[in-house]
Amino acid sequence: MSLSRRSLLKAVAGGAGAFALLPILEQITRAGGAAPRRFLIVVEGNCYEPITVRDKKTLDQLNAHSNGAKVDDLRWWFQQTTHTSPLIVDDTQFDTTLALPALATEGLAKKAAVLFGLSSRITGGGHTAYHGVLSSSRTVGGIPGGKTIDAYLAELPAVRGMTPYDAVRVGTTSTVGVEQLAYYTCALDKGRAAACIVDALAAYSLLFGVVGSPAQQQEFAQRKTILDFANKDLSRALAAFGGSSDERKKLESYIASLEEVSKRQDVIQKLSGTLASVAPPSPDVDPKYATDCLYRFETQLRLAAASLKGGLTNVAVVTSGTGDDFNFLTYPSAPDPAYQDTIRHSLHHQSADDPGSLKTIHDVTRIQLDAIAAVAKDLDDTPDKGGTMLDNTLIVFIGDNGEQHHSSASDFPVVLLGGGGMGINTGGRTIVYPSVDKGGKGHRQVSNLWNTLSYAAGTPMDTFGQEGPTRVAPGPLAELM
Amino acid sequence: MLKRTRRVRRVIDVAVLGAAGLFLVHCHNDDQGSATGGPDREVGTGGGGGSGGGSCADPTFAPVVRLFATTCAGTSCHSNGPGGQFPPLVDEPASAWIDEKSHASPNASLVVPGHPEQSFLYLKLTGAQGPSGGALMPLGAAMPIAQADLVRAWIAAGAPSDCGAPGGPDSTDPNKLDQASLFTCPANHPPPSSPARIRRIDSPELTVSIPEALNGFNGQPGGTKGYLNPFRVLPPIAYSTYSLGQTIDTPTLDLYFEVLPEVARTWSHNDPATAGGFRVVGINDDGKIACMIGTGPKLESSPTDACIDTFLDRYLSMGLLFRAPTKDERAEYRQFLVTLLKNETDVSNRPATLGLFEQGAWLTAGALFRSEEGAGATDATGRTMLTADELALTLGGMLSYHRPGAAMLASGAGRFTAPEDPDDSCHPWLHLIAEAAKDGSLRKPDKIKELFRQYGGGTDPGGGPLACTKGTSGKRRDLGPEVDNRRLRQRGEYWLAPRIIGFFREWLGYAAGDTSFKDAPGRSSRFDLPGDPDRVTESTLDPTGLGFTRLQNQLSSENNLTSHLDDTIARVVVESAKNGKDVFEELMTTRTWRLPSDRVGLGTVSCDPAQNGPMGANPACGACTGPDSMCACNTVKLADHTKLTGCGVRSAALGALMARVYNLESIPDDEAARWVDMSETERMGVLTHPAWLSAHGDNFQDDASLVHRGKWIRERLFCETVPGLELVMVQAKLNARQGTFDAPPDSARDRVSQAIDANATCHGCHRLMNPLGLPFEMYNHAGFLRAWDKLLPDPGGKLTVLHTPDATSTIDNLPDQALDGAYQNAIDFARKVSKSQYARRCFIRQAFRYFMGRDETMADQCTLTAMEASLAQGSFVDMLATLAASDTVQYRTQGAAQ
Repeated sequence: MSLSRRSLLKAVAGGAGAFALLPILEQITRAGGAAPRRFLIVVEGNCYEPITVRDKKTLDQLNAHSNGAKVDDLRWWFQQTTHTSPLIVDDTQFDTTLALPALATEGLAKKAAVLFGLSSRITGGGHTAYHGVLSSSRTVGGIPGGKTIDAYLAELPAVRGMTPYDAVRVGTTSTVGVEQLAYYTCALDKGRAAACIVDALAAYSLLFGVVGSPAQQQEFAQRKTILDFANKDLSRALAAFGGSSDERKKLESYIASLEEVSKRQDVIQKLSGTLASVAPPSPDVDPKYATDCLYRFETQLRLAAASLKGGLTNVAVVTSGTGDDFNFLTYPSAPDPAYQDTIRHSLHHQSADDPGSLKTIHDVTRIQLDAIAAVAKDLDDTPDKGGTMLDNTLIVFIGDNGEQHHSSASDFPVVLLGGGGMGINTGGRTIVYPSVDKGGKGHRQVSNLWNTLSYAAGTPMDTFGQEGPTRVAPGPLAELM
Repeated sequence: MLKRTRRVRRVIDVAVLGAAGLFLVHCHNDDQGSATGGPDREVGTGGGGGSGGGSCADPTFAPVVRLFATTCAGTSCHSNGPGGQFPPLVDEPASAWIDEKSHASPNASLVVPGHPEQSFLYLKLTGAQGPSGGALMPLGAAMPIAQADLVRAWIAAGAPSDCGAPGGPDSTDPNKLDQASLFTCPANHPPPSSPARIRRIDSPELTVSIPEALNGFNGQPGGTKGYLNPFRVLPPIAYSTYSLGQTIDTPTLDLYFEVLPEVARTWSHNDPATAGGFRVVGINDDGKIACMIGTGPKLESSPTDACIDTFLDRYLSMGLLFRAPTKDERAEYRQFLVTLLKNETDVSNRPATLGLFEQGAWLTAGALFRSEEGAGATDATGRTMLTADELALTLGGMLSYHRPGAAMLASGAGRFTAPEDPDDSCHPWLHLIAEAAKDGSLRKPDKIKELFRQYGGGTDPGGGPLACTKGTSGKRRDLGPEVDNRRLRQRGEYWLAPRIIGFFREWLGYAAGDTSFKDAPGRSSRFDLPGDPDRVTESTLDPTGLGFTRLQNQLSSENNLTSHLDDTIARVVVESAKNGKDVFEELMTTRTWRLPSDRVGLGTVSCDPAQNGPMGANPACGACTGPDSMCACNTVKLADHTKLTGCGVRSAALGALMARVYNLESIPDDEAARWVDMSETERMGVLTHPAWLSAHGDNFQDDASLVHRGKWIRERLFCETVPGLELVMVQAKLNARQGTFDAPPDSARDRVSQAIDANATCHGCHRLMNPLGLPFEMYNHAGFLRAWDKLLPDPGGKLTVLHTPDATSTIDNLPDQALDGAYQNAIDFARKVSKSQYARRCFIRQAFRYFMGRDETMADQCTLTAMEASLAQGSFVDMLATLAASDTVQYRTQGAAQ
């Protein structure tokens, strides 16, 4: 069977899934708790360019506040703007952007916002900031400098609720079947990278194996048998262990992991009805899975969204070619056939002189945002406590290094979707924060965005990350609250 | 336009350094956040320990001292060392802090007893230092650390100063130990031991248990889940062998379940008859477990007790535990197996039954944690001895990922995972160690030395008959199918045990050279001369870069940079032992290197490349055979613009230009020619090898590679601590390049100098790194020898005049003062450092850390002294045998400080 990208996207959406979700939503309501607070963070490797998400009205504002030179066709402009307080552009004309027309066609305009001007120089920029973008810290030699926002959110009881997974981290790399895990983007703590599953088949098996193929279902069922045996063995081993407390902790930690996974088995089993209704098709049903990284990105995005819908987790991260992987990505389904075999690194380097390369970079961003918009639309069509699932889900799309291929980490464009039920005021606006070099105290940083997420999570914190003395201002982005 | 030509990509283990050169603006501790001891520290026991905090009148305040000792440790920040630029909080007793003034605010006292609000030390910890008071400390903290309250209480209590010297033996930084003392063995030194511990399995130990993983993906590692298992030890530990804190958390367990079915096929699907299948060698040659596995006539639908016991004992000893199980442990496995067999509906399901058993078994503590508890006898000092089984596994773990006595795995196609001992592929892995454990001889130092010499390294030129394998007697059978067969031919004949070569890879950090991104790797080399018609531009393919990229990624039939340095180091280690030469000196000065050929696949039949068809077919070349059968007329273009052509296998032609990173061309494709004596004006020792240079180089030729190289030298060659780079602020980056990419007016050293020299704050830390990295500016970021390092304008204003590379440096702050002085370049530096006893001792300390899986302490004085004596006789492997035979390995202290 061969499914088109569009049909697969539609397969995620739709009334049947929404209807099947009602039982778990009712459970949440009956439990008397607040509405779920969900987060879907999408990280693009080696940036997406600010110009792709800038509309005409915003361009007018930028030109009005430039240092004399027209912004017009500039792909990034942090060196041009001179304003010292945020520019707020209402009623963003998403249909005039290069990569966000889907927000208009999907009717999501009022639930979206675009942010410009947020810097994160603590991360270092460059080709990639690795874990830095999500941790507002510096990764050196592959070692994360701090906990990433997804890990922070995943630890909050108000976010975790009763979900079996604290977080689901998936992504895509330039190859398929070669790597399963990538450690470039997420971190549980300083020095402790968290794995993203970049093999969509593995992710599918892990998350939806309970309702997958007969073999996957059997594997899931048999897991209980071996977990019971392992639990028994570890209990025996620990009882017989006479070593120090530090050594004992190794076994105790493992036992705790076994117990958590065992309990999760039960929860997932109970969720299986819901999961069956929201599970996307297995990734390998489309031959493009093996060849097309854009398809794999959409696949992983669907898996992440389905994990949120199915109640498997309330925190999901989707990465696309983050870390070093951007250097190897090609886009076999890029609209311009002449560039389908060109690696991303070359596309960027050629883009100054070659309109085709530049257009391909921007096409990729549009395709990604089309997919994000489709997922958002699906969530918005799904009722949830107080509104829709999108209202209780904040989607963040951000690059992993800043505004350009060789970034100075001066301007991380951000697209936000949803989160209205969590106190996030998107409102169809574009907000241009004062620039890092000329904006003075009015400038804001990516760490302020992560502070904002902590507010949305119901557990405010004002100083996320390792900005230290370079922090411009604590607290959230007031314009979003 | 650069086209993607391959599907298989490397597995990136280590991220590249940032695109731009990055600098410290302040100092801080790498282990920040671990004021009570970082997670990567596991210290020894016995003499020299120290109680921490000295004799504080109020022990409540001992942690204050420890806070500064651990959080501010480092030679460059708050110390009295040569690099100390800030108040010396680490090396001075707390009493001295009272008289110290802030460097940022010279009128402010660090400590005013009884008045924390007047004490600059406290203000710096709380962010109340004011706008001229510099950064909040510890640097990088987003908010005041919790211990600030303790500091306040200590000062409020009058700052009691009898807490001893904070930087003493209680420091968790082993680099704070006095090296001369470490290599002195006092007559009354207490008997040494190590902490009793258990070690979680690490990634390669699991991989070697999975035949499918060993068979790889199209013959390459990385093709199966087994290679991607989640037991990789992640930074920031010093070495992958460190075990403290390494456990199995939930995310790891989740991912392990993805691997588990593959792990559990090893015995349950043991079927040599299946095409492409695999088998566990020798486990069923006697037919005694044919009642349990396979498809033969002896297979029992209801296995007897004897059958179950025979299978179980063989499985536990050769496939899972590699030791004798305890009585309870064995009973548990047996009961599980019996239960599964009872639930088996048909004997045809036996592979599934045993597969489930194996999955369960591979989740047990015995499979995933190896004991170094010391379950043997207790001696008069309270130490406990490792049992024979524990010792065998420990010694095996110092040599290999394979466990002593582990069954060998073979594929149905006849490829064996050959043993480290290439003369013996008839027995289980490291079987002589297993046998010595059984006969009681394993504790004898001479026996250990014999075993380490047997399994530690040697030469394997191939060619001899192999009695026990179905395969051919090719070279380097220690690598077996883990390396693409096509590349085995190109490997050198010298080999080292996996853990030993693993040490060199980790100590030198050169495996990262295979994955570090290099923009235009040939930039500034002689292959990149302005005016040269072959010179590349930014928007076109970089021929020097292409060769380099292939060396990184094994895209051709050649081996990569890591393999080249592996082979070069193996030769040094083996030949030094044979000839009684100082292995450290040889490592630092070797010029006999293993190089790639750019003739692989070139062929000898002349042809016209224009005749190549769309898939590479060329009429002159006829039909080829082999895995990639399409023939092509391959071309190698030389620096003098001449071209060589020849018919060869299409993919093999990708070897062209590979030797350019070594500043050479035309390396013939034959065994002897691949060992090249490098020019003594260009290369000398491992630190001038492109693998090391690129691993510790930045992304661009004019970036701050010298900082990264200098940092490595300071830390790994002189055992001093330099603060990490993660807190570098982007404002402290190198100046932006003026002009175009092709015409950068400043060299890397110019740009670094501009950013650092005038800034005293930056200079405080960078003076420890930059002078050590400057000699290596004769090479670019990828390890090419520079022909120029910047372009100067000619009279016409064009940037075409080459500036001669400047690799000079003046070093004045090394712990080995004999090395202080002026250097012309890296050759000069390598030659002098090779004679340094200080650097040599640091090398021994690094080896101790790797092979012990923990930091050294003063309790290890006598062991380190003995190791040094062994090394003096020339053999690195003998030095390891000395370590293995020492009480430090063989005795454990229960509940010792971790």
